[in-house]
Amino acid sequence: MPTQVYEVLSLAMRYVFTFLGVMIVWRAFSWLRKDRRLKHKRLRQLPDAGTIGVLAVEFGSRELPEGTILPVPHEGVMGFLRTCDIVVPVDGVANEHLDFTFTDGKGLYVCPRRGCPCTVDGVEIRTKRDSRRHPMQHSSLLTIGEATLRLGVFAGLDVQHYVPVAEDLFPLEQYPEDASGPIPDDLPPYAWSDSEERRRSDAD
Amino acid sequence: MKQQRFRFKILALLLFSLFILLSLYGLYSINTYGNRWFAYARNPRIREQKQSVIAGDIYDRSGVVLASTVDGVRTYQPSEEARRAIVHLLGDDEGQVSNGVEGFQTAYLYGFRASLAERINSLFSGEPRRGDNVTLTIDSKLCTAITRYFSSRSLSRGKNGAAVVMNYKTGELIAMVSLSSFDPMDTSSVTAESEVYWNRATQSLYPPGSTFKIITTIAALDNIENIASRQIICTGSLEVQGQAIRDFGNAVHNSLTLKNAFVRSCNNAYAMLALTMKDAALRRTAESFGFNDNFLFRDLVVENSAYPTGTQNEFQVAMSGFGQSSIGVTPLHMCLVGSAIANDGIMMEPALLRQVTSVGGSIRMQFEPRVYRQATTAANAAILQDYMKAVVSSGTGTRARTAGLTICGKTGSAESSRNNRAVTHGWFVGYCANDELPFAVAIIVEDIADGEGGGSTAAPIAGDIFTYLRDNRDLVTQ
Amino acid sequence: MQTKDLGRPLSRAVTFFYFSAFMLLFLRDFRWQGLALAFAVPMLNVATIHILPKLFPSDKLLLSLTNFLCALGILVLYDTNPTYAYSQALYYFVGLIAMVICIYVVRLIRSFRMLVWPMMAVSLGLLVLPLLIGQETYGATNWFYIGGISVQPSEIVKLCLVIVISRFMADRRFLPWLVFAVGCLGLLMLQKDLGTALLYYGTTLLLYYASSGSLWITGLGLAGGAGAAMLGYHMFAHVKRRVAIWQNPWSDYDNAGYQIIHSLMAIASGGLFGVGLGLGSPRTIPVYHTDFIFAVICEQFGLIFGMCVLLMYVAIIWRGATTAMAARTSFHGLMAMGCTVMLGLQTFVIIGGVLKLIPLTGVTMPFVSYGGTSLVSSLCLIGLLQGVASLNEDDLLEDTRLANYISE
Repeated sequence: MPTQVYEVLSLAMRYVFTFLGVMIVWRAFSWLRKDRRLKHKRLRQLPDAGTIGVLAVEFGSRELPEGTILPVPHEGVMGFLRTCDIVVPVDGVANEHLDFTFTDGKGLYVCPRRGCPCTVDGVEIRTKRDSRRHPMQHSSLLTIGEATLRLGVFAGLDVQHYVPVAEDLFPLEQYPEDASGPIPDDLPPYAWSDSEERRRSDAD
Repeated sequence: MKQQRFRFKILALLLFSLFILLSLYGLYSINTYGNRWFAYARNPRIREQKQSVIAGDIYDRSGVVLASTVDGVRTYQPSEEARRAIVHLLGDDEGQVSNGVEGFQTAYLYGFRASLAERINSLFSGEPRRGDNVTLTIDSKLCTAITRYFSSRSLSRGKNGAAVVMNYKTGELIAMVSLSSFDPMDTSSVTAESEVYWNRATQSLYPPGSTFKIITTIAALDNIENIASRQIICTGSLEVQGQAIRDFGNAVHNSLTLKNAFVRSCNNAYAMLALTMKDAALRRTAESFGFNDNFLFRDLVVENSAYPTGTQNEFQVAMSGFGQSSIGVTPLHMCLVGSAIANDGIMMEPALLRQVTSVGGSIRMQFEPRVYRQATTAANAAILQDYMKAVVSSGTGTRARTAGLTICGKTGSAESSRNNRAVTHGWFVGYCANDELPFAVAIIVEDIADGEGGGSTAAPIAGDIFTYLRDNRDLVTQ
Repeated sequence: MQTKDLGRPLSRAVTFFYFSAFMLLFLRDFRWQGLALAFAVPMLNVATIHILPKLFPSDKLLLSLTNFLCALGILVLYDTNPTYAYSQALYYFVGLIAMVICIYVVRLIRSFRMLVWPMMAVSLGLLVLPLLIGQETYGATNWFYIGGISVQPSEIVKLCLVIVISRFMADRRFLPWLVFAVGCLGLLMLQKDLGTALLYYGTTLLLYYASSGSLWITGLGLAGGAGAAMLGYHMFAHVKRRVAIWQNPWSDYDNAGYQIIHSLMAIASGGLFGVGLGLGSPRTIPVYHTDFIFAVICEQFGLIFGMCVLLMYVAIIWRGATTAMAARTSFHGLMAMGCTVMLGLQTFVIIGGVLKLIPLTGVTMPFVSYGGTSLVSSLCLIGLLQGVASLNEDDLLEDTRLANYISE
């Protein structure tokens, strides 16, 4: 193509390119904005998204009365501070008391920070090695400071074995005997995962 | 997790702010310096464009053709004298003079600003492309005349120097001459590293000498109470840190008012003023007049003037009072200082382009006056106007007097050293107070004879220029 | 889904952009390669956008933006030096495959606990190689030839660095990542590859802050880095020179300031809308294909478009940060944030250098600059990010499934 014609063509096209560039950026940002709104909406419909179970308070304090339900995420920090993932405002609990991690098929590992001991089912956990030996299972009992908390793991998640206690709080008859196998699709839901059920049992 | 998520948000905001900083900096720097970067003489795009585009013509304010392209060759005015007078301002085809119109306005002259419609037009007409025609605010006849004024007087004949004439109400430059000069159409006799390429009016920093007393006076009026009505004692010699400060010709002025000190240009008095109000106050005033500012004028690249920013010792401060420490100023900036006084404290931005028209005749750019900065208050300016009037009517600048006009001004003799030799430059900064001729001038004559000052070398040239302006009133104010 | 409605016009705009741009360049000189690229590049874009979501939940916005940037690199390279463009297109294809592999790796290997130790050994080994058999360019010995291909190991180690440090930080184990990061930085210093060292350092420091929240130690690390920078400034002559050039490039036009001056002239010549694709003199910019490719983009497409490119990187960072925040485990969050910070810092460092905001360091512009290893590693970083995003989406879908089950 003759250079002069190409020049004019290219000069005309640069406006198109600029327009397309601006449009792509604008589209991308409006997409980002809409996605954010969509995500908030979805998360509002799923109050349990990202949690693996609950901790029920068996012995607490005035701020944390008995029977309070604390949702447990996959990972996080437990402690006195409000910035923690699980807030336990009870005497004897440090600001950031322990880190916890849920591993599918193993259970919830609790790893106390230095100088902040805790017990799992009566076994004192002080070091990382202790925590690896004693993961919390469904209905395990955790004492932290003066508080006593019981873990309930949601259905669909895999732990080594269940400790059958407190049947009035956790209706275990709904669970299959051995949950370590493949998870059946028609697994009955864990009662606490539904907020309405939760409220009903609170009233009881 | 909750805390970690919060910190992720902080990190994201940190990265965003980095990018915002980046884009703001990019937009700011391109907006401020883009034209300068583009017009840099070594830009290969300009060289390429020169192959395919015929450069536009350059005219002066009365329509005289200063530069045009004839058969692919850039030609300038027919008279060699006229070519030499205007070459620094205009620049040359080979880019030896940095930032002349030929170089700095390439965007217009070589058609970089042509619109798409014009490109399509030229495509169909089949004619070679032409750049835009540029009309300057310059009066080329005055430029030529100024070189003659320099050579017609024995004290400035053959000397290097510079002269700037501008309209202080609008900022239009009427003339800008730098000597010594060369002929752009015959550069065979000029060596590569020669000084003649240097535009002294915009690129050379000179000590301002006594002309800086304009600024010291303003600073004194602002910072020392009732200074205008107090008496200053001049004993002829002032000891500061073991060094004596003497007046021009070892004069002893005894008791003076500020006005008398200004009119007689008493160095001792000004050294005392500077010492009384301290360095910081003087620097503040100098900076309000544009010293230490990064000049980013539309049509001109001007070397930044410098007032020392570090701590100066007592002697240096005293010397600063009459412009003799390491203060540096271009003749163009000195002309701006004079015009700020004349224009009641308002300094206009100097401009060189009057109009730019495309080949098709449409106007691409039209001159509009723009204020550069408010240098001082109108009241201070009025006091200085009175003082400067007295300088020309009865003081050191009497030789700038012009029949029929009220001329105000300040002379100066600036000492500097060159090649380990003390040299004296003669300065004159002044303006015409008549409303119908709002022009300010700054003239410097380099390396004047012993015993001479600005009053005997530069002031007469100013007188000649004002005479010219008076006689060609219609031409320069149209 | 709602995102589909937004995705289509965006991807259509990208496709149209590249089709018209390559067609324009084809019209200039009628070379068949231009025509081939005019179809191949938009095809790759369309293909990735349509195929990947079928394999796993994938983030189409991230895909579109990376596709746009990679293709922009190919376009600009084709305009300036076609041979570079062909190999870049090839590496783009390789990079896409590597990206898919990375996504699968993140989806299948959840913990990486077993993998980090061999990864550390391999990384340090890779970084030692250029010191033994490497070649020197622009004062740095950071690459070597293997089987006719030039490899820049620091680009590959980038991925390992992000994975390793986020794994150990998530486990709250301080020493291993510190030793690894310091080892990498030391080796990069020996290679005199200070730009990459700056990236590694910045990413490690910011990730440490994110994982621990300890401003004290982060500040200490920052101070240590500043000290090391001062030391480097006095030890390496070429660092001193670069800083001097940055301060005033115009003082030494012919030698030191040459690169940056040409970059600034090119950007200024482009103006708001550019000089037009295929016009101007982009080849007069030194190292136009890697370090100064942003200057070429600004010259050809203009300042507005250049700012749009910057905003695209901002959108990628935004997306990366939201992915990191939505991650279920601290490891995945840190990994996603690590990739984001790495890409963001790299872009900032090079574009800041080109615009003279900071001294120029020889890092590439992610996705756009010529360089096989760089392009592939950038795409792999996006792959890790996409992997985390797909895990998030999987988890959310699983939660939805369970919630629906309960409400029935």
